[in-house]
Amino acid sequence: MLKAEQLTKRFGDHLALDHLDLTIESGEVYCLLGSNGAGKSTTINIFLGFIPASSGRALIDDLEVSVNNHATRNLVAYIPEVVNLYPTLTGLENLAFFSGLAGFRYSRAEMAAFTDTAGLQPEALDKRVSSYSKGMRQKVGIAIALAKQARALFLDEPTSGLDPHASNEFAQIITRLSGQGVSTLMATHDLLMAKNLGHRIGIMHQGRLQQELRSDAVSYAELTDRYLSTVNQPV
Amino acid sequence: MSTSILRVLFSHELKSLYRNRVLVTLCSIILVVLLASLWIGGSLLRKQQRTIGQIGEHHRVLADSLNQRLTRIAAHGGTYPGFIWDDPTFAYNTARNEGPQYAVKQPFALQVLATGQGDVQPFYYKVYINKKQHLVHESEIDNSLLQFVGTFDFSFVVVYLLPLLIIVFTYNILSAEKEQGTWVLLKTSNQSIARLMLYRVAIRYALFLAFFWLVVGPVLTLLVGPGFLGTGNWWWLVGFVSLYFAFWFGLAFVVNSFSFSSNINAMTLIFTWLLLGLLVPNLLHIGLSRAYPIPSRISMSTAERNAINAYFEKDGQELTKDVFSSPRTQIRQASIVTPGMVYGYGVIVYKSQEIKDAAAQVAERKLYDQIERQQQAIRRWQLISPALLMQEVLAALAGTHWHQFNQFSLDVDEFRREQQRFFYPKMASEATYHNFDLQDAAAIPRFRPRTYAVYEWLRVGQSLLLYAGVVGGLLLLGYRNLLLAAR
Repeated sequence: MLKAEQLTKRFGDHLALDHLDLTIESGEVYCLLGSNGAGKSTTINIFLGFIPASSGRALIDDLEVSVNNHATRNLVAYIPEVVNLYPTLTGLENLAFFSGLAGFRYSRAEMAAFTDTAGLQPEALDKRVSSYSKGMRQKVGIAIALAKQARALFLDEPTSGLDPHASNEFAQIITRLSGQGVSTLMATHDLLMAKNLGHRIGIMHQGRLQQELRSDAVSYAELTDRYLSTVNQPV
Repeated sequence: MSTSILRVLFSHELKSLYRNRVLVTLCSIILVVLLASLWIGGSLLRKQQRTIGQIGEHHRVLADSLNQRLTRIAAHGGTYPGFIWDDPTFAYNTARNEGPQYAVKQPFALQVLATGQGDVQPFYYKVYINKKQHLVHESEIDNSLLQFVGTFDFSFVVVYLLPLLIIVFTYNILSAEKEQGTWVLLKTSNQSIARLMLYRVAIRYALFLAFFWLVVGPVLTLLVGPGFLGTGNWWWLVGFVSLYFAFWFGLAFVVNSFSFSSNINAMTLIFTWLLLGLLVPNLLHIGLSRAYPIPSRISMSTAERNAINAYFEKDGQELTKDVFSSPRTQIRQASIVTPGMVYGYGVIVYKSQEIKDAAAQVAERKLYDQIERQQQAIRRWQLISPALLMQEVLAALAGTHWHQFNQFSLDVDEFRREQQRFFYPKMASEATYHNFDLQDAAAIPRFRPRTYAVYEWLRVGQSLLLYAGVVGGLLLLGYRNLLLAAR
């Protein structure tokens, strides 16, 4: 479970995140919408421990991130817009390395199972990552998350630049992980993806969570209207 | 951090490095350069051994010739039929002709690794009773056409070239993670980034050392045999070279810890290499040469000449009167060379040499005291340039340091005095001119060649500990920076 309590972040005079309160249950997919600079990535970065909060708390499975940084990293996986891997290593070697750092040692068959779940073709496993497409890298990123047995998944614009087929595959995998109890926080500009994939949707603007919706209670058109009316609010 | 993380990192580093084409190409070049430097060192050693072999042969031929001539003279009732200046029964003639011998500095196996002062200091002298002489024959000049400055040797590769490879090996150990984006995934692992980076530097260092010693050890064994493995010199050398490499790895770790870009890291490290390897040693050299100017050898020769002139102008009158008025010498009356003249000439040579030696001793003492002061000053300043320390240590451990050549030169001087002690009484004996026989020939003092590879004056243990401290400090500084950056 992920929880933000009055989470605030200032960069000098700029208030990037303004007293965010948020709870994401196990198995829930929460999509954060908002224009650039709304505070989506800042929220994710605080949960990942990349940057400290100015005030408030971020908790993962009841562990406060700023206090238990190492412990909470054991619980999380992160898939950014572009999953950057070691280009001279193969997909399998990258997976072995990152899962190894998390303390897991898998056989080749076990790792192949993770990549299979992530949707990576078996023939790509032993090819160098430098020859991978963006979608294939995303899949290795997901396989790493699977191998780490992450309890929380953070996604930052994960489908940006993916073709519709790859994007759809990606959504299916997230749904599958959700079914396994993984909490997911996804920052995205893709309203359709948010509507189809998320259980709940939050719309952020200028560091504040302005609206929160259940995806099954709102149509795509209504979501679009609400989004536009929120992000077009005057400062 | 468990051993399994170390294993994960080790496997990762190994794969990443051998798939890096630039690095593999560079390693191959360095391998060739390393092998070439060892081969050059080996060929210089073999050349020296050949020269020593020729000297041994020369000594045998001269000894045989002297013995044969003395035997023939004895068989003819002590009469030498040839030219009087060639008569070996006169001690002065033998001291001049068959008496002079070569004194040789025995080669030490590890000199393959460092030419040190070996290309400017002689490893043998021809020793006369009145001088030690080092003649460089045209055939002995290695680079008469190329005018090549210095010798390309293993120590040059270690001190100057390999730090560049280490820089290529390490300059982006952290920055590349940021630039290629893998940093993000590393940060989401539950490992401390500071420790991860420290371990990666340590693993690269271990791989580099393994590569290096696995090349050097067997090649050196092939070149000079395994005897060097039993010397303390070798193990100190291994310690110093390994620590020197550790210094550059440590420095790269510190530079990386400031989280600059790869370009800035590379520039910083290259500048540091230039500073520590070239600029500081040269500036120190200039500064210390000014602070402790070395007296010229010309002034030394002038002092010797002045001393001889002064003697002959004053005290030498007695000697001259004695020699020239002696009924035995009768030089003034002689229209041809007489035995007395040979005797008289020998006495004059003997006497003037004593004066010259005394004068030279004073001037030489000044020269060597100044060199020693300069060297001590350099040793005090060595901490600011590990390249400087390494040059000295490698030369000392290889037996090619100025100290060792100087010790050899001092031993040769002592050997010359031993020859003087042997020949002078025979030359100055007026009992009979013909006083040199087969027994004397067998008793002509021989130089006892030995290797000059002791290094107790260098305080190697202290230097090693000092630099281990510096390396430890660098690692701590880098680690602390990374810990602070992670907060």
